[in-house]
Amino acid sequence: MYCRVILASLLLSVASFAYADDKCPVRGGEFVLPFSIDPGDLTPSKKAQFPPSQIYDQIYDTLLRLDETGLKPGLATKYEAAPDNLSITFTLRQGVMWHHGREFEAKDVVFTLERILDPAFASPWAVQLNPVSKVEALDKYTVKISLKEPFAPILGILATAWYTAIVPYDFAATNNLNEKASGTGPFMLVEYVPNDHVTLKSNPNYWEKGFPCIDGLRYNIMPDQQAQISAFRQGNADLVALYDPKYNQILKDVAGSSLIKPAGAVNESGLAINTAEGPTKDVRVRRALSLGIDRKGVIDTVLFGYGEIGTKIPCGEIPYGWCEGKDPPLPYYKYDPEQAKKLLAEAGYPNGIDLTVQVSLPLDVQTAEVLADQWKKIGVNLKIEQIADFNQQLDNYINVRDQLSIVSLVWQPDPHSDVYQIYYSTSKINLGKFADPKLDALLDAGKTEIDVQKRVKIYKDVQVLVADQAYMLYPFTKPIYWEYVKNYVKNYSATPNGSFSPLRYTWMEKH
Amino acid sequence: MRRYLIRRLFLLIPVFIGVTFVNFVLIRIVPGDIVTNMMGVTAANNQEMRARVLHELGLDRSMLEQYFWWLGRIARGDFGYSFIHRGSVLAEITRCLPPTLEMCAMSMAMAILIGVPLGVFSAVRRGRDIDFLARVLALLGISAPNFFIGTLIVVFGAIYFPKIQTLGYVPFLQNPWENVTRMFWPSLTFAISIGAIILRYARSSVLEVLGEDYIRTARAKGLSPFRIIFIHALKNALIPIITSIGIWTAFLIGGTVLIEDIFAIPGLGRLVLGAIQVRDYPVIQGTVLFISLAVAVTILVTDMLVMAVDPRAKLD
Repeated sequence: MYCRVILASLLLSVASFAYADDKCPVRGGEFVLPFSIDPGDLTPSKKAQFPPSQIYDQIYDTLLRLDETGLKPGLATKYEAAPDNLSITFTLRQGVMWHHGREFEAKDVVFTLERILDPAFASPWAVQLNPVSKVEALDKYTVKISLKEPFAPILGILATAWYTAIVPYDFAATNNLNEKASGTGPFMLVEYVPNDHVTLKSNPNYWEKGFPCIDGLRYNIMPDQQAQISAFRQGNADLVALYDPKYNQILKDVAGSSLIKPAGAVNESGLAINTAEGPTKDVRVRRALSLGIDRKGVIDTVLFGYGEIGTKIPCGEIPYGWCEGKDPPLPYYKYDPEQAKKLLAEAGYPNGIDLTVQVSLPLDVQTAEVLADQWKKIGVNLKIEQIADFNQQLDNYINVRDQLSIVSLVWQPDPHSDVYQIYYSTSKINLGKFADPKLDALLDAGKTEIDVQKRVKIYKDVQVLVADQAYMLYPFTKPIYWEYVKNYVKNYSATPNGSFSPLRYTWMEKH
Repeated sequence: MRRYLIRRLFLLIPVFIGVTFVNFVLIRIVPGDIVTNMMGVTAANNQEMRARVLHELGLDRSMLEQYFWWLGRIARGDFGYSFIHRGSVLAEITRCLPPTLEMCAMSMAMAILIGVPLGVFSAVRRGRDIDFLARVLALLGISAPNFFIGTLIVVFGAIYFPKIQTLGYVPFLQNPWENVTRMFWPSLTFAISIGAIILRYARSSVLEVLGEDYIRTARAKGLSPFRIIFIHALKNALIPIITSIGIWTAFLIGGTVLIEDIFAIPGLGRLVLGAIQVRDYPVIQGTVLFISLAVAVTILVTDMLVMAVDPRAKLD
């Protein structure tokens, strides 16, 4: 049933591409955007860093696509899971050309996935794709992926360029993809000058006929957000993506530009709690901390109101996310300082308690400061320890070196990838050192359950359980970016995962 | 002179070994895991994957072994390859060098043009209006951190003079005019603070010289004030000025990180900062070695210059 519903929706969205040709009233122009981090390596699936994929997802395509409404066809026009859910067969799009001139075929998909699984290539995603046992080309346009066990997250993984951008078997094996690239995507690599810029030009043979409207893309690497905003104001950039909400205050009134509606808040502030030792071992203390957070207050102060209630699987992750208003309130989420004080007293701290939180990045520091202020009212005296180096903080965070610790976590394309590693009891990166058999059972079920409705229920239960035991707290969720574009930029939209891929449909009134 | 030079050059060897070793050990003992950084949390916690990556990067050997292996390669002129994008470190350094060098040269030239004349005039007219003005300016230039001045230039420039380009780097050969006009702003940022320091050095140095006996003799001889100041006084006053210029040039070579960040210039500072953030050891080691080499050479050249100007400074 599930498969049939998906198939129907895939066919529908294929049909919607039919009127695509008259969507570029003006053609041409180079679109310029400032980019905060040097991508380092543009080889797909080679490194775990996310920023490079925000560039190479313009060059390469994925089998499927994902937007806030769900899975869409990409290089595969449809797919079908076997009744035992141990294999999935993909039908590939015909007539798609690589930038170097050959037609895209099943061998490329096999090459891409086998390369990720190949220990010699040492891809970070080999672990993610571990349940894949075999990838084979049934004919030129059909690929079958066999699985060791039913593995629901695979579709999300195949829809994310960060994980599985499809590369050509002949070209990728012999070229340094940092210097020369060939994909099936809307843009082709011109050059990458580290720490300076990446330029792409549009692909005239792109399979979504008529697109892209613009001539090319230029990513200017500028680490300083102020400099990015200045470049945008001076007209040297057509888009600016703010990762710090306070700059909204500057840009919201600048004439000639407007805010693109964020596609969903998927970047959550993750407050990890050491549940194995110290006062936070006691669930009453953790519940008190949760009750003591005025979540709306945090959003208003830290994010200037540009955020949503925090959960690990955010509302933007349809249909699995937990949405305030639509779903029943999570336990211990409602601000109640009196009840919190009572719980602390029950736990043996009637006169208050001293706790330490480790933070590193500016936004996390601000969050900690607001929490310290709010928790003062329930008798928690929070000491903020700022770690200068983020890598060090990440290390502390993963290994639960202190009582409390904050790092921003980002949404993944499937709820399983979101929560399994950080909640499972035997996982080395369990973020609170908690071991809950009930939670483990739910996580195992979510990994193998294919039925969407059942999975939705499983992951809502996970969220309720985590909130009830207060294993981890999420002070807020925010979009990855707030993107501003010049008003002459038309038909651009934000994506939940911070990809700039909708630029393939964008056109500029003047350029 | 030659013996002195040779001795100085030989003394550089222990300095380099010290600098590189300390740097080598420091970047390896700071917390933060390179495998997590490259491969993400999940893969980094997979033992097999972790071992493979460490082996590939040569990090599975002892630190001392790694160090001597690296030193041996350096001795053969091989700076190694980046962990992140696998490009040659030497190529990275040579690519990032021109913007930094240009910025150093331009800001030093501007700092000298601001600092030396103002300092001299301020000394000559000691206690009068121009001296007062110069001293206030110097105080302002020294007190305002250059990243603050840089941010002011970028932010207010974009709001009030949107036509003026302050950001980014255009190679000189591609467009000389754009190159110079864009480089002007970051260079000015440095020139303000370094110029202020040079001004103070020049002022106190000229003041000191003006109090010497031979100046009084020159005055008594009836030489014109112009000759006294520019021929007799300035030549002797130059020595501390040259030394301070040398030290600040050395500082500039390694100290441009923040300004490069603010003005989006792909220079050495950005290179090493980026490498530190992602724990790209070969790039950090190579760049630090290169910067310390540049600093040592600058200081050596400064000493040589001082010796050329001042015959008394033949310290052997």
